[in-house]
Amino acid sequence: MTSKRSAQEYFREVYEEVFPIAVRVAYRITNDIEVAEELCHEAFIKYLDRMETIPDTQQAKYWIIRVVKNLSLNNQKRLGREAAANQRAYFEPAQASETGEVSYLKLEAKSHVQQALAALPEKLRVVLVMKEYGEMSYKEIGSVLGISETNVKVRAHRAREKLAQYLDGGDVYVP
Amino acid sequence: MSHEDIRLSAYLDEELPESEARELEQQLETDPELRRRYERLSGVSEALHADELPDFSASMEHTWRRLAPLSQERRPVPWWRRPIPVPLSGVAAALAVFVLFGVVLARFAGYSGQAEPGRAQTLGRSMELSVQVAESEQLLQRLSGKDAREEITIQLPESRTFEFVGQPVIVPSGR
Repeated sequence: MTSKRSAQEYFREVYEEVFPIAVRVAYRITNDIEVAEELCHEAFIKYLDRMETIPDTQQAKYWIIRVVKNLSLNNQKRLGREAAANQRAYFEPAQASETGEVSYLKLEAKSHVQQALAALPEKLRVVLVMKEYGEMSYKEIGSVLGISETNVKVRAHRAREKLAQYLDGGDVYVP
Repeated sequence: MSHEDIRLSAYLDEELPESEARELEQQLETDPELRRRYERLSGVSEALHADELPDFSASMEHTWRRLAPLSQERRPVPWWRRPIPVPLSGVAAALAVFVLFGVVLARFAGYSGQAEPGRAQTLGRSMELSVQVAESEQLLQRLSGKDAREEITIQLPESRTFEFVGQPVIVPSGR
């Protein structure tokens, strides 16, 4: 933070740039908007404590998204079996009650895709979530995860390939 | 997982260089198998986005209302957690001096030869070295051969009487 703006203005600027990405990443890992919001709140509080040690907006973005990603994954691990049971309950019976064949197929597809995404190995899932929902570049994802752009490229492909295999076998409706 | 498939994934993510992307587009027009693989991967992305993300604007506003007061009453970062700007040239110079000092020290401490020192201790730039009386002449010859100009202090046991004959000349150290 090298400018002469007040710390609060700078914090607001970082917040407006990073929150929309961070909350999408958190939501796609946790599948819960309230939890995602809470985790982002926690990450920004942590950032407030360290704001002066993080030199610029770009580094702040990487740092906050890394914290949000870790908090989200930890949250999922903590929920454990309960989260898995909740996801099944959320995705299956509720969607089966929809009327109309197309609606049903679309909802079935969502269910399968999100289940498949949640079942991916953590390091593949995180890359795909950041790419598809966070709309981050390979370079940015690499900076957040501390891996090379080539590694990000390979992981993104492996994640898609695994999902494709899953969807091939699931007879899923793709709009 | 072929290199071609990774390229397809990178193309889908708009991460290929312009020239490579144009080349791949031409291949996609003429190679039905490549086209099929591309569509399979793009189908995964479409499926991932079939489930639209919720509108996070309310979450963003709500989280900001909770964070704004905290950003105003932010605790100052203690001095030991603040980054210290150090020029790269300064770090390089300090490292060079450190390495040079280490090399000089190693040359002094690394004396071996026929007379194995029983005990050696370095204090700053002075060195205390113990050798057997029978091997002291060898040590003196070695130091003389290296044109060593350092002052040499020999501590004689108080329990024995000595008679000085010829070289080397013993100079009082003033201790």
